[in-house]
Amino acid sequence: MKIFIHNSPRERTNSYVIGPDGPGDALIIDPVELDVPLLNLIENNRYYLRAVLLTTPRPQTVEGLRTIKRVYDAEVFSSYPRIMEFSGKSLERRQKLSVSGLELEAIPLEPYSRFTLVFCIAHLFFSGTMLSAGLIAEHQPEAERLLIAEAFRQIVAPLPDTMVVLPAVGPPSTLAAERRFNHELNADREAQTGEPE
Amino acid sequence: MTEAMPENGCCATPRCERMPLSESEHCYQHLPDEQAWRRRLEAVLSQLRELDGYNLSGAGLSKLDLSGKRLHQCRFSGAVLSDCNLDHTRWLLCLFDDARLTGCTVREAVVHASIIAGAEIIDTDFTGSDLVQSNFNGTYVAHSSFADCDLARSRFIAARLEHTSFVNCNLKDVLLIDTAYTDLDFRLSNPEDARFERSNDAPGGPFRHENLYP
Repeated sequence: MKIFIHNSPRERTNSYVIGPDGPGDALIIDPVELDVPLLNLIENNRYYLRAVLLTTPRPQTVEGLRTIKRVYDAEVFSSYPRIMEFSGKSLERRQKLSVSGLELEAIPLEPYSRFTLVFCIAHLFFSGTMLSAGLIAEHQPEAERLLIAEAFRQIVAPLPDTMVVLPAVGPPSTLAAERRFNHELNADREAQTGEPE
Repeated sequence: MTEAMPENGCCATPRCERMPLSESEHCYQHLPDEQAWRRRLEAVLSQLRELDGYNLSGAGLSKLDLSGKRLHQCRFSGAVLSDCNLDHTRWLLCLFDDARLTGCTVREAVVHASIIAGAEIIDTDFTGSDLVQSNFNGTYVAHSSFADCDLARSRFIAARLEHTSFVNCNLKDVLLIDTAYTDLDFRLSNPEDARFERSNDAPGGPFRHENLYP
């Protein structure tokens, strides 16, 4: 398995292409545009995009989706059965599925929202826009941030420290680093012990 | 555009769940002969310009010369690098979390989307490097230089920075939240484009921009 990071110069967000070591079917997570570097990446590796996974359908994502669907016959996986004119596979509950030959787990960010997803593929944790290195949902209101932090605490509790966190915004991280340096992810533990990690 | 690292099995020592080092079946703690491993490693390094998926986690690496190499998806988690030469390297999604870099040079390197969180960086020179979108959260940095670096979109959340130069750096969208700092030099840089935040009860009190220019 190979994974490539593409940072959109326009939106400053990350999308991830995952494919086999050789030519074959690939998937993309949270695309915001299909620009020339991204298209070159896909084509130079002789990949064919078979799936688009969306953690949170956003206006920027939807725009990129339209271009991708013109070029590739890719199935859309998100929490909604339909995004614009495109129908797709709706992921409304925690479930394991096989996409483009990869085993992945889609996990809704409950209790915050069942329409926001994170994805686990092997040792990779795709956290979308809600968890980035050291921060949780920094643009959301305080009340929502508490719910999102609680949802992440529940989701990551059984996962190993070595998992690599690949967010839609900002640099990558590890779960170990998030457990230590993400103040909001550790709020409960800090309250119990009386001191930060 | 970068690739991420693969996971590679477990150490050959029974019940050890750590990943084996590259050029060995064992993790660093269970190496049967460290010097023989080091010789094998140096022999391989002398042949390769590109290290892909290399695991040197937890290893003690003194005076290792990696200059000019492309480090793709390599793991140096918890490694101890002293007096190592990483000049002109290209790091692509590498893990240096909890590593200790002492007396190293990483000059004119290209470090994209890498994880250096929790690392201890002392007397290390990053001059002229491109460190875009890298994770320095929780690092302790002292007596080091980031002069002439592009640090755009990198994060130093909960880091501790002491006696370190950020002269002539691009600090666009850099996050320094709850970061403790002493004697930093931001001349010719753009700290106004970075985000400094510190809570009222943090050591040194809340952030004040004028404190950047003592």
